[in-house]
Amino acid sequence: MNAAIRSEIRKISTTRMWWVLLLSLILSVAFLVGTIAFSIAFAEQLGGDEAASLTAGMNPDDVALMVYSLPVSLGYVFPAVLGALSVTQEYRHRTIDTTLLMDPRRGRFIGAKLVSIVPFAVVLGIAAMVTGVGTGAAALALADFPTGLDNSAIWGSIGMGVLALTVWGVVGVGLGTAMPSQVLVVVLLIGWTQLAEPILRLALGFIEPLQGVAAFLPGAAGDAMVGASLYSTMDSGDLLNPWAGFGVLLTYGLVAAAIGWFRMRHRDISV
Amino acid sequence: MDAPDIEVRGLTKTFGSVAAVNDLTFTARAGRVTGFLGPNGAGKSTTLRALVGLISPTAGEALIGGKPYDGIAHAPQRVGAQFEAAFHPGRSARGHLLTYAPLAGVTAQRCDEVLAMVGLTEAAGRRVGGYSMGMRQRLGLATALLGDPQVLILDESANGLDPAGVHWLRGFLRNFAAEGGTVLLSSHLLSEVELTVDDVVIVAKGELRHSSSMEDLRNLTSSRVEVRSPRQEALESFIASRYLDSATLTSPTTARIDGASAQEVGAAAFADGLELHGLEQQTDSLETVFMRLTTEGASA
Repeated sequence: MNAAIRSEIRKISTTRMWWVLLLSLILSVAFLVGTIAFSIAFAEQLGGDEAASLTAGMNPDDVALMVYSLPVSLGYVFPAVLGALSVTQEYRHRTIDTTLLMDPRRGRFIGAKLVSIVPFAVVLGIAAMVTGVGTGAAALALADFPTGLDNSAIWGSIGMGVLALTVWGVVGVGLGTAMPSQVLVVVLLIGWTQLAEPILRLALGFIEPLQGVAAFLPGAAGDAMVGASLYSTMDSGDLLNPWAGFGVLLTYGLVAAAIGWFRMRHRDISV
Repeated sequence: MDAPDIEVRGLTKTFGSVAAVNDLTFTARAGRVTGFLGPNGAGKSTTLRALVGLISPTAGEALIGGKPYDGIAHAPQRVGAQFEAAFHPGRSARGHLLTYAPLAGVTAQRCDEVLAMVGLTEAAGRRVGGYSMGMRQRLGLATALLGDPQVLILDESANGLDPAGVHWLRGFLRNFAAEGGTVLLSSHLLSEVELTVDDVVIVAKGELRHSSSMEDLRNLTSSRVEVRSPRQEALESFIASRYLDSATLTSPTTARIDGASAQEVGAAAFADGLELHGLEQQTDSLETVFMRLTTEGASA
């Protein structure tokens, strides 16, 4: 198993994909968190009622935590795409042939993929949280808003943010094994994370009997790990507790990987 | 080297309702290069993929040393296989080999060794996306050789190589077999591998058409001799007395003699005092024999 994991780690480190995604993640988190944090922090000066009403009645630490949850809410597509591509590229470039020649045990192949994404997803996670917290705290501080960085509970949540983004990498690998078409899985991931789930979470928030369901959506489970979410401040229902969120999100990844393993078990790898 | 044989026994593989391979049986022996020949779509790749466990047979077996591929311990150190160029274009040749080194159980040093064997040392750091077809084939072979195997299964490895590359591959495989290794090399062109292989297995439409040594295949090429003489009567009596069953007059002054050599007919004409104005040997090319074997409906 160690050999398979080392092989998979080298597959990611010998291509540019992971650091292209790393740079894109840093840029987009800096931009999005900056924009949102500034609009919240300077809501009064900007005269924007909507932004002000978002945080009205929240205690300052909750506002800070919500800002620090943004890298997870907005950035989770990056580790997820990295994980998915680590699998789908094997099919796209047909390296799956050589991979299975070197080790025909297909369950081990999927297991090694799930493990090998972790160090890279941790790096993406740390980069996202450092960028997000840095940008967010700077915006809050500029507006003389408390940054909450003297609160150890907030640092715990920031750590959970790194873990959440790491689990998203594992979820990506699971999706890639369940759905080895590269185009399909990337479209699905981006469509789901950027469009479908945000809409669903808001929509489910308005439907009384379904409010609890929204908390079990993968994006909500990831946000729950940090303990705050931009969406939950918009009345889209309560979040799970952080470790329940971890369990739910990881389950998505492992169930997808199990489906992938089941599909791949006896599948012919032909041209 | 005590290399295992490759045995395909009654192999059948159907995709949906299409039989890609139908009850195919052959053996590729250690110490020999076996050419696995047939037109495109004959089932060659399917058979080779079944041998290494990428495809599971509908019926029959594809074994290496008596075992299915997933039953071979340390498979990359026993069997090396190459299929149609399969590389991530963004990886360098060295990076490509390094990703597989842990699974093959080898070090980075072995990666450099196989790169040198196939003549890619200088291009080792370049990204494979910019490689020519011939360079990709060489890298594919290097990948197959990574674990220092005793059996090589190569799918169209000569395809896309320039003449110098084909020559190099021939030398390499001849040497590999001479050291006792087993080589099964597929190709859709007999001419591409005819100087490389010891044995041939010819398939078409998923079925075996011919299996023999290369030498026996060459003997299937029939030759004939055309003789011309201005003396019509002497020519007639010459063929009547010497080649009654195998000769025909194609014109009053020309006769065709099947299955004979120019040497033999010339000597006989000299002995009989026949005046000759023409003596020409015509031989079916190996390619013609190959075409006949692969286009005929029934097994030969």
